[in-house]
Amino acid sequence: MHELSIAKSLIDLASEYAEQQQATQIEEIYVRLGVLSGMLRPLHFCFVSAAKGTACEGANLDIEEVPITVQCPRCDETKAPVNRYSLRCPDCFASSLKIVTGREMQLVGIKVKADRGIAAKQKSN
Amino acid sequence: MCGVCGCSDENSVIRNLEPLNNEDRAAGKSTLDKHSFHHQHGLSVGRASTALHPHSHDVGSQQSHAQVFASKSDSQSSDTHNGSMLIEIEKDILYRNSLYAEENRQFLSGKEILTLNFVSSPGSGKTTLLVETIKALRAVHKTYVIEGDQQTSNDAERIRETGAKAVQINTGKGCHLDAHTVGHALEHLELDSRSLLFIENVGNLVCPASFDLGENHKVALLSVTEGDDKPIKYPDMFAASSVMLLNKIDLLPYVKFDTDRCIEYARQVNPDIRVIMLSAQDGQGLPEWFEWVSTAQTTASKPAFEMTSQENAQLSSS
Repeated sequence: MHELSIAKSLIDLASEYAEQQQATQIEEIYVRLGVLSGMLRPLHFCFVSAAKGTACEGANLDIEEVPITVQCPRCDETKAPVNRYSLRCPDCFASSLKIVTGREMQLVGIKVKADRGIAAKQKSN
Repeated sequence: MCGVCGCSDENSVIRNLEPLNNEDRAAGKSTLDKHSFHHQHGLSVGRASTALHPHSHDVGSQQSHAQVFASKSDSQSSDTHNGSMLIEIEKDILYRNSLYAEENRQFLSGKEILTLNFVSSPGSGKTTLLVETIKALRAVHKTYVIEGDQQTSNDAERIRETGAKAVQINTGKGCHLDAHTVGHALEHLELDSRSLLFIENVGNLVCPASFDLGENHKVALLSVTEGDDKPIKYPDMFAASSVMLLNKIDLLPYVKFDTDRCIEYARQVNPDIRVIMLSAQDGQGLPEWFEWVSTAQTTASKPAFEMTSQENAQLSSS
């Protein structure tokens, strides 16, 4: 499984943004995961080990799960498919569907601890 | 390190394999060139944590992320008075892999090279297929190969026997190739324009589906000894591929494998997938595959701005 690569990419990206704000500790990481990414459990599983020694260590992983929706060309509507292994239209059973949501693996944002560096920066603004 | 399969890429090694000339062969020489990455890989593992589960599994919290970030004020900080600050990012987690993949794609399409990323379970016959394809097409197309395996350079050695230039990437514990590593492998190949580049991914029906390497097409191999329900068991791989090659059909009389059902399953997860049945071992079905490669190469070497005569005709008639 590739969850470690995903966790590392997530941690690198989050840490980079924290560093830009001169923050050393990330408190919360907001992630959007599509059901089709299959990363919901695996990411939780290896995040703690992967985060050790980074700005993400001890951060809370806040995951928003995005359900699968598909665009049915016959009904010309966006709907939830039959199931994740049969991406057919639940009403007309058409199969050439375009996946609209469900593949997401996005870092939405982070909440960082505002240390003295940030406070001073805020004050001077 | 991942607790499911022990995956990590801290030990990645690229081995550069030039085709041996006859003198080298006689001297029993190998051109294995160990190349440790000059860029930073691996985890910066710090002190051991005493807390087993410092995070909470708060999936589906009351407030959506969009609401969390919409409620913050115009600047990047909303509640600095609480000692915290929200930073909106909105980027793909594999954003960096996508950047590298796009770099590879631009480099390769600039040289009008057709790049195919071969994905399958271990033992489905990827290397045998590549060897046969290179042999059959070498009069027309120069072919290069990037081999991905956790260990050994056995596959690259087999490719090299055909005279094609091959680079072996050993991913160590890693379970897939990524665009960054492939970009470095490209540096070793000195690719000619209008050639073919075959990337043989690590044998794994799961992970390589998520990582764009900058290829034109993913080609999924499935051998009839593996079971006809693989396309729905591992839907991502077949959804991401342009072609499914059903390999080892010479073994069909000996195994319980329903080809029609398998193709039906593949179309369920990817209605547009092209299916070619073949046997790399005895050669049946291979001409259809070679034709597909040649057609794809013609498309890859056509500049994006050049219209076909048909498109031109449509434009002038409208």
